[in-house]
Amino acid sequence: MEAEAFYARISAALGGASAPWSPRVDQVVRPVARTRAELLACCEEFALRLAKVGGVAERLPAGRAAARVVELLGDAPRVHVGLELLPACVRDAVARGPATGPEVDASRWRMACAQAEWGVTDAVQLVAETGSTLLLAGARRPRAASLLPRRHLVVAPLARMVASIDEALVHLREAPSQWLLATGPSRTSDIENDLTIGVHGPGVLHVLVVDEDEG
Amino acid sequence: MSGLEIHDAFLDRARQALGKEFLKQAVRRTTDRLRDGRTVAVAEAPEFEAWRDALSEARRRAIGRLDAVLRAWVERARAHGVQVHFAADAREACEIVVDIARSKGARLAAKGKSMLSEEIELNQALEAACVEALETDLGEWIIQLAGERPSHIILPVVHKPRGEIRELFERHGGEPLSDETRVLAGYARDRLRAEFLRADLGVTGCNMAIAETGSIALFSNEGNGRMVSTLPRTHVALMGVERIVETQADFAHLVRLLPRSATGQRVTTYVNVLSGPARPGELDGPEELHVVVVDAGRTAQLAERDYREALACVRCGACLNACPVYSAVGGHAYGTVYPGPIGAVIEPLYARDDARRAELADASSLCGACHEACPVRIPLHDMLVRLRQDNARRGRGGAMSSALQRIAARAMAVPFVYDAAGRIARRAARLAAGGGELGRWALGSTPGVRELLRRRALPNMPRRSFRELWDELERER
Amino acid sequence: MADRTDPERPRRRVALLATCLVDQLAPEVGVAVVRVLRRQGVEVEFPRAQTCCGQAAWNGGYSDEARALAERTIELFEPYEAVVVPSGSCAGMLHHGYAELFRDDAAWLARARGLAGKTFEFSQYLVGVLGVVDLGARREGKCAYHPSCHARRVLGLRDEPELLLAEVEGLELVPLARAEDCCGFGGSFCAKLTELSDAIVAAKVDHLARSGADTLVSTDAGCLLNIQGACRHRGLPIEALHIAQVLEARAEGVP
Repeated sequence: MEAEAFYARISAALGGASAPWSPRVDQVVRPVARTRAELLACCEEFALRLAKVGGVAERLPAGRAAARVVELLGDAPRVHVGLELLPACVRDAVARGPATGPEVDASRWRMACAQAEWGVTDAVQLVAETGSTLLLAGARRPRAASLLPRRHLVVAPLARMVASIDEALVHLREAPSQWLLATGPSRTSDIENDLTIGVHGPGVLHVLVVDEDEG
Repeated sequence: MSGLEIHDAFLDRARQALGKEFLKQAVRRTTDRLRDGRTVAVAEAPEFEAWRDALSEARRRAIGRLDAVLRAWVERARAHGVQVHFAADAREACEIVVDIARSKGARLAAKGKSMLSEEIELNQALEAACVEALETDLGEWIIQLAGERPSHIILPVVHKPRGEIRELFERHGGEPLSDETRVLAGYARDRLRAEFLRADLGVTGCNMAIAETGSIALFSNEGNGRMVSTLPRTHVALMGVERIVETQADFAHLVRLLPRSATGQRVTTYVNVLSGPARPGELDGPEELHVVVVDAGRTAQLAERDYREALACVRCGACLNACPVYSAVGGHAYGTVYPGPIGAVIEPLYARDDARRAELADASSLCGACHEACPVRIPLHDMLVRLRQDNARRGRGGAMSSALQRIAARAMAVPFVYDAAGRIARRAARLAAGGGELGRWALGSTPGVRELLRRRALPNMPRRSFRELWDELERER
Repeated sequence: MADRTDPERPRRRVALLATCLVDQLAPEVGVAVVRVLRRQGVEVEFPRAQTCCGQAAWNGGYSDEARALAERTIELFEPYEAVVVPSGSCAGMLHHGYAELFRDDAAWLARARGLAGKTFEFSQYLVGVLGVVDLGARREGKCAYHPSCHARRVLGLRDEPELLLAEVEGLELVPLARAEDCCGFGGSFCAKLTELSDAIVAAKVDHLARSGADTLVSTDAGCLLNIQGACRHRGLPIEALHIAQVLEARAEGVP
């Protein structure tokens, strides 16, 4: 069906055409600046919320983050987003071992993701209210890194913490091709209401919140 | 047959359901779990009612100027490179998807969970065009292997015991499995993983479009929706024309309320928002994103003042879980794609099916639990009454029972007739209780009464009505 | 605090809308309502010409018939200062159903709203208008409360009945699991889809049996007849009573 004819059907059902619609500019909300104490409180809530849905979050000083990454990833094959998107302190640790980043071509990327044990990504926001990580897609942020590997590691600085979903969405006025709110590991209760973790997406979601202002 | 001589398919199917012990218990366990989850989520959020108000307002606002809001969304979506199609009905929608599949030479369409796809029977259309349609939501896959229909909007396979699921999988894979959930889910994961990578077409629904950003949103817990919208080269999303909000702020309320109302989760595991196909330089994501905007009866419903608000539905299933009728018999009894109170209201309207309108309008005790649970406050119980009025006007729902109810209602308006009828009924009941033949005959031939008394003892019938006692009561003063 | 027959107070006068169910099948409920109100110093009148508020016809989809009954009811009751109804369902019909019924008739809608504004379910009238909770009633035993669907969801009755029951001497209010679930009565629903109604009331009776209550209290005769019938059929010695019947039984020393 033609677009105009389709709109006309709706207008007729409404009893006449509506005035053109566009978003009001004054609806734009500014991001909130947070004190360190507020960020820490958010982080605590974030970890609690994430734990409730089977995910893990830990806050680490920058100095200890690399060691923790090595400990978690071991020498397992991993894929990662552009290293420059991750906190500087963990880049080497992520790139070490059998690692594939977005520098390869599409078919190698997909194969690497399908075989990887870990996918390592950043998150543009961490949402305390729900324990959610907000991930974007882009040239340096291919989507499969957080989708195909069995486990998903998010590394993001404490400063990315926000209190609520509304606040997180404020940062998304310029729509990227995809944004994703990922909260905990993949789950299903389809079989007799029995909760199972890790059905299609990653079965583990681990979030390292890097606290750059602590030791 | 029931006393009021309703010869309806719903009652037949409900009876079948009531005869299945596993189904009865499984459905009740599920609805109890889901509504308990919702209750806890509501208790945890002091702002819950305010969110409900906000989402209710946002949905009605968008629907109230749907032509303009849709146009704004289409403009922005096209600017992102989305190819938007418009389908007047199910047939057109299927044709559009089949044409896309053909033009891409697609052999395998991997599907995310979509009730709209069920509604338009897309799988059958794809198969007819020699494109394999594969459901990838665990529950939907089980349904597909079993050749059945979903029995719940969000948990399609609640009616099936794990033993049957194991048998289906064993037949599918040709290897023995155990009954453990982990094993069964693991089997599905492994089998479907290969299919995700092989599929050349991904098909999903659309939980909501956002006009402000020209986006579509997919909610899922398993991650299959992400798979089919990321891995195949072409992604087709089916969108009901009414599934749109104006702004991202409006959308935030949906993110909060849809999962809380559906399962009690604070947020769905994945809220996946797409604005166009992959952009230049991106390593993955679909090369093409098509959105098929489907009417299929929705604008006709928009024109009906009595039912317009039902278009605000966000498909959370809370009204199913709250409904005593759904909880007793499950989804298949409704014989519709959308079961429960919302299904009873929207489906006959979408399908313009008067017979269904007639039978499903009665499938409710009008307890109002659906309205109470609805995150967008759709007055479903009022709509069910309006459907009954439509039926009465059209002479549906059994001529005998209609005539009787009309006569009874008219008699009620005449005090002495009302009085006499009451006296006769009480006398008959007293006679029956005393073992009298005449009374038993009278009760047995009163519509509905004989059936009622199979599971209920006859109440003690007073000799005199309240109005007959009134004079004595006045003397007590 | 039992009686309020203080001669200084202006006497309240109410009209009783007994409801057809109470009038014909449960007159003892009407009697209890009148006695309890009188003890509170309320003068009760019973407009004799009343029959049914039209709810049954309305819910059945017979709007013309419902309208005739609604108009009668409005004409009959609007002269009174207040109307008390021993049913959350029928009170809900006057509040919400009439607004739906007359939504395209401004004149009748205004009259319907006027009546709704002074129409109260029995416990609502006691707690909300008279401001009493302790009526000096006494009853031994354990009691569970079933909030009727229409009282709670259509009329918007809150915890008034529970407040009243809590003050009844000797009565222990026990929790009823899933109390807010429908009992399966639903007017014509139980006659039309009887097997479904059977399944729904069976769940209610299961919870009731587990509650340990010997008495079930509600605000609506429809629910009570349904639940009582199902209990008796199963041989459960549970008595289903209207809240007015519980409040009517007086403690010793209370006149």
